[in-house]
Amino acid sequence: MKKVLLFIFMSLFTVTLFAGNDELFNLDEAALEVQFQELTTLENFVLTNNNVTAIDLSDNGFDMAGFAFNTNMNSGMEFMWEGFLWGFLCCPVGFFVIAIDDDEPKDNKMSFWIGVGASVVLSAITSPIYYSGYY
Amino acid sequence: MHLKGLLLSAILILGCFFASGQIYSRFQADFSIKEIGFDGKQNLMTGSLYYNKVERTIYYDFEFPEESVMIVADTCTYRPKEKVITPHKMEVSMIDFSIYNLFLNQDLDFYGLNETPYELTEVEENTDMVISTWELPGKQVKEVGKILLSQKKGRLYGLVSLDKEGNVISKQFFLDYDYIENLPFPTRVVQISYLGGQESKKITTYRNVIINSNDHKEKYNYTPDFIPVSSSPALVPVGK
Repeated sequence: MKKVLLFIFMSLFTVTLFAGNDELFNLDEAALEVQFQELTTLENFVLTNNNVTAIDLSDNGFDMAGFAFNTNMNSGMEFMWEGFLWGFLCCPVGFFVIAIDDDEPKDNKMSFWIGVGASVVLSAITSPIYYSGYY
Repeated sequence: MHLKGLLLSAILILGCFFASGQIYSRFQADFSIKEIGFDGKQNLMTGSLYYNKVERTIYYDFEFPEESVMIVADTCTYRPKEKVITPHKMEVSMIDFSIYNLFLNQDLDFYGLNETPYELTEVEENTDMVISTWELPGKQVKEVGKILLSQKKGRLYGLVSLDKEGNVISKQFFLDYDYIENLPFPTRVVQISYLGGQESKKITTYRNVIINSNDHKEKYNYTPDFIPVSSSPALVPVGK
């Protein structure tokens, strides 16, 4: 009887687990399209008109309110670059990369990567804030 | 006649060998990045990129919001127009785990997780998705969160990073796969970051993907040709 109850409990728990993790990967693309509508319109305009820059838009009366174009080309804090590049290269946040150094003691290597990972997480999350443009 | 047959067989065998082990070392694409930050501000960047796996450099040729060039290497980033070299603080190569490198290595399905200290601890399967859980082994798992990876039809679909309390830090979705030289590549990547109850969203779109091109050699084989004015420049505000 106990085994039957345990089996039922595990089955229910497993079902719950399936449902929870499955929901993490839900993506409302329709809502996303609405949120990005203005940017998509701008994207299409920029792609159609080669060589147009943000300054060109501003000079021609484009309403810059609500936009913070990424002028990171002129900024240089190392802290921001790391986070920017991780996001730019699509590396997942919190993704810890192995050091190709087999001579390094395993514990030292792991501790190093935890420290690295923490900085990656922090910088990747905060990089969009630091990269607000100047227009 | 016997010799000709042997020679032909040898050529066929060698041809099959090289065909099956074709090496992809160059990746280029036009890209656009649309972003809505935590503060709700919108951002757009467009341009082209050229990745050389042998040289381990990614050459970014930006067009919007301003024309500029950025070359990412293992240890530093070059910006020739500003004559700046910025060293990377971390002693790791983010190039190895960039989407471009993983694609060329045909290692995108698990986003290279199988090449890291992360261990596969759980696999779930539902109607159209397989979800795998990856954790760092030992006591370190308490310090570092899990990564959940999902696949649809054997291709990478989503990545969810959790903190040590199990809260979602970020999500990434790999969509609109296109076949490049018979290799599937996601031409649209959606990234969502979470912080303090707010969200930041980014959509990266790739167009005109070409691999192993022989054009644009100066970009694939970039070598710095300037004397840097600074290796760690101060912030330079852009005047309106």
